[in-house]
Amino acid sequence: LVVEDDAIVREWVRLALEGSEFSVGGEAPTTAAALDLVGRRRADLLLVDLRLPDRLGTELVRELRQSGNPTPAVIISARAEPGLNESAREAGAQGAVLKRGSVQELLDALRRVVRGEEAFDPSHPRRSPRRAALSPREREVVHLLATGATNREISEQLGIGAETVKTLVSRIYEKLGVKRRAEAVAVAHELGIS
Amino acid sequence: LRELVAVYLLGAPSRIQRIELQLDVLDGARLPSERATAIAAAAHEAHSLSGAAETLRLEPLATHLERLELALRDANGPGDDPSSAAHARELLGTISTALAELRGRSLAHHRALGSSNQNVEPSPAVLSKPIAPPCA
Repeated sequence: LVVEDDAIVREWVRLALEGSEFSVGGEAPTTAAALDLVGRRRADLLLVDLRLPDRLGTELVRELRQSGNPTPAVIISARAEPGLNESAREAGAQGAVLKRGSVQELLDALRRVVRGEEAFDPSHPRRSPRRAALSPREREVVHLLATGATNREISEQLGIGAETVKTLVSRIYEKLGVKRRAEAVAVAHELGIS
Repeated sequence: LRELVAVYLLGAPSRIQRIELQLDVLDGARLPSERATAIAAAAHEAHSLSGAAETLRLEPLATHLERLELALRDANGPGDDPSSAAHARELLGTISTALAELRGRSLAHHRALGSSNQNVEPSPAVLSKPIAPPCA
C-alpha cells in the first residue's frame, strides 16, 4: 500500500516496482484514506510519505501500531531529515528511504524490511542526543504550535485545560532544549515532527 | 519515467499558480490562523512539487522548490517575517523560469529528434543539464 499525496510519486513507485516481486495493491493520498484502506484491504507492506496533507506519515504508523496492526512500514521522505530514523523507529516503522529516484535503493529497502530487517537510510542525520522523544500528546501540541495556535486555541482543540497546555509546552521546551515557542517549532520541524 | 516527467512539467505551472494564490491570501490575511492556513497550504504544495522533482531527478528544480518550502515555513514564524514571504515570491519567479527552460529544452530536444509529437517529454539527459539562474 502506497500512502503518498503526490500522484507523480505514486506513479513512479508503481513503475519502480514493475518487474519486481512487489506490486502496488492500493494507494492513498492522506492518512485518513490510508486508515480506511488498511481497514478494508490487507497489505503486506506500507510505503508511507512523511509529509502528508493531513498528518505526518510517522503518526499514521504510530496509530496503526497502537491499533494492533503489525504491517511492516517504510517511511519515504523528500529529503534527509534530522532525527527521522529515530522518530520513524519510535513510531513503529521498519525503514526510512529518500525520494532520490533510485529504483534499486527502494527495492533494497523493501526487500530488507520484508525479510524482517530494518532499512533506515543513513543519510538522515541522527537526532541530537539532548532532544528526547516527545509523547504523542506533546507532538500534538507541537503540531498546533507550528500552525500558530495560541495556548487557548490548543486548549480548545485538544479539549484539555489551559494549565495542562502550559505544562505540556514547558515539557516540550525542556525536551527539545529550547526556550521559545519559535525555537520549539523550528527544532520540531527539523526533527520532522511539526 | 519520461511520461511522468512530461506530466510533471505540464502540471507544475498550475501548481505554482496555486502557491501564488495562497501568497495573495497571505497578504490579505488579518488573523494569525488565516496566515497559518495559507502558509501551510503553500508550503505543502511546494513540498509535494519538490518531492516529485526529487523523485524524477529534476535536481536543480527540486532544490529551488525546497528553498521555497523552507522560505514559506519561515514566513510562519512568531514575528510574521514579511521578508520570508517576499523571498518566497522571488523564488517563485526563479522556479517558473526554471520550469519554462525545462519545457523549452524538452521541446527543442524532440524537434531535434524529428518528433512529430511536440507534446512529449524530455529525456533524462536533457533534464540533467543545470538550470542557469534567471538573472545570469
